[in-house]
Amino acid sequence: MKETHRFISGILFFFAFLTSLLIIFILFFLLSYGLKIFQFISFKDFFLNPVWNPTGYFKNDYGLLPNLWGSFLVTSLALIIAVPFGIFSAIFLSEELRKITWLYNLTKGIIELFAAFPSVIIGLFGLVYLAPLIQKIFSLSSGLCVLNGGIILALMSLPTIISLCEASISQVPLTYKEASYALGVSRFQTTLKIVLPTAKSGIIAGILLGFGRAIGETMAMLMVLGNSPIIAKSLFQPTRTLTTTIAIEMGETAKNTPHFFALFMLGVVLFIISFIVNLIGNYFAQKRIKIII
Amino acid sequence: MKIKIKFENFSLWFGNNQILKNINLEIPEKNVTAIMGPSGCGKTTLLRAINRMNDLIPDTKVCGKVFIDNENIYDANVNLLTLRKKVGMVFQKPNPFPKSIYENIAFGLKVHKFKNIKERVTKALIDANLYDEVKDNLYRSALNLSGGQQQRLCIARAIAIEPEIILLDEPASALDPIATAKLEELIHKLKKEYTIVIVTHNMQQAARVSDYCAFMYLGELVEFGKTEDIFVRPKDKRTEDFLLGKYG
Ligand SMILES: Nc1ncnc2c1ncn2[C@@H]1O[C@H](COP(=O)(O)OP(=O)(O)OP(=O)(O)O)[C@@H](O)[C@H]1O
Ligand SMILES: [Mg+2]
Repeated sequence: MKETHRFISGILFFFAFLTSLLIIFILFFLLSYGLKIFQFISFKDFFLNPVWNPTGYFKNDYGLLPNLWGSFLVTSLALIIAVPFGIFSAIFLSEELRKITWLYNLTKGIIELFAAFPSVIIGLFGLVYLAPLIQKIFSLSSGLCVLNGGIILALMSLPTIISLCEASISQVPLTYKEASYALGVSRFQTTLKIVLPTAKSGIIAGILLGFGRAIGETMAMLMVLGNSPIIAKSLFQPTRTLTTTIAIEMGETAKNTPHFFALFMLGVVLFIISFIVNLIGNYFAQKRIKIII
Repeated sequence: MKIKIKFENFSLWFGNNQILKNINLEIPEKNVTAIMGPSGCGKTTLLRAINRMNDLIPDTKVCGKVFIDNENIYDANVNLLTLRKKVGMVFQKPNPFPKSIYENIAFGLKVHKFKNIKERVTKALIDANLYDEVKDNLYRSALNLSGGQQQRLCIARAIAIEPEIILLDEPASALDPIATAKLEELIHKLKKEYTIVIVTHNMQQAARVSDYCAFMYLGELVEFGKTEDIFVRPKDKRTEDFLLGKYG
């Protein structure tokens, strides 16, 4: 018995080790190419340059900012939409719908199914349905813009946010709620002041992991953002993100050129952001589990 | 002697199970009334009928009336929030909020829009005989307190919002003898200001703390009277058996 236990944890440890090694390897791989861009341009020309124009007539610009700004803008917009909606849905699910077991299970099933949706399908929805709608409502020349991307990304990160928030809200012990009701506190106040703060770790984890999902999304963003490498100043302008620039340009650039290295450096930035966000998100998810146990 | 709470032909069902059977009971004001009976006989349910916490359990049905100060709390137009502010409750297992000691008490005060929160928190802690033990750690998590301290914190939380009635559901079941003694001392002190209803398994405890005593069996109220009378001359055979420890 003890032998098998040791054997299994040995295997688990081995794979965990392998995964960590792989992640380090990928980072090194990205860095080994990415850092070479600084043989051609200065740090300042990469990190602080507001222009991305790798095939300019006189001068090539490899500025991080338009790409980073695009990612930041679209992801933030997505979270602004998805977080309140996600938390509200999670509350509704765990506090109301749970009483009707079949409907609760059905809804959760649909949400999980939606999480596994291929992103190209959701992108298609943005391209074919949302774009004309946005174009018409705001009388724009094109509906492929930051707003469209934000809505699509919100849709894509909602399942993560709802699932994690719901799990954590429904684990708030009934005794806390009873204690609050017994003080003559309304359901609304109890949810706001007792349930949500108690479920805080899980909610933060949900938001961060939702963010992690959103910032790495590529295919759907390619389809709905309009792909113009400018620093967008409004929700109705097209833009680029870290992911879409890499996806669009990597295929058409020659190996070992400054352009090639610059794309790798974008990859490094993306990797670091999502690594950190996921790390913090998982930390909060772990914390949530510890509190409950 | 003024009657504070009065059950009148009160019955309660969870689904198809009748839990309380035609209860008639008059609980006097500013006294301690103990509710005794074997496990599962409906003591907790009876207690939770007084602040309508049973409403939270799906599929609950009631019939009959419960009066507090001559107002039937099962009337359609009764405000549950006002009722529960007036009827404080302390649960079987201590259940402080996962907040600081201070916040645990301030929460109810803020919701009910009391002023001078800080003074009131201090006063509630003093009244609950807890202040001296926690006064230097008011902003530490209440979850770090011992079981007995947590239970007194729950009492402080309940009395802070100035209820008239306090319901205690086996408040000592998770406590050691010293903590229990402190709690009983506290109950004794509180009955000067509040009407107290306490559920207990423990006959000695009932004898020590209560002025009146009700004995329940399988959802029925078998006997009610002054504690000394019930313990010395039980009228019903079932009460006698219980007092002799025949129900375990
Ligand atoms: N939430 C509930 N749903 C359905 N039935 C319940 C519920 N709570 C209690 N009951 C049933 O009601 C009956 C009385 O329960 P109650 O908790 O009032 O007993 P009690 O006298 O307090 O017992 P104990 O001394 O063990 O605490 C029991 O048969 C119990 O199974
Ligand atoms: Mg009970």
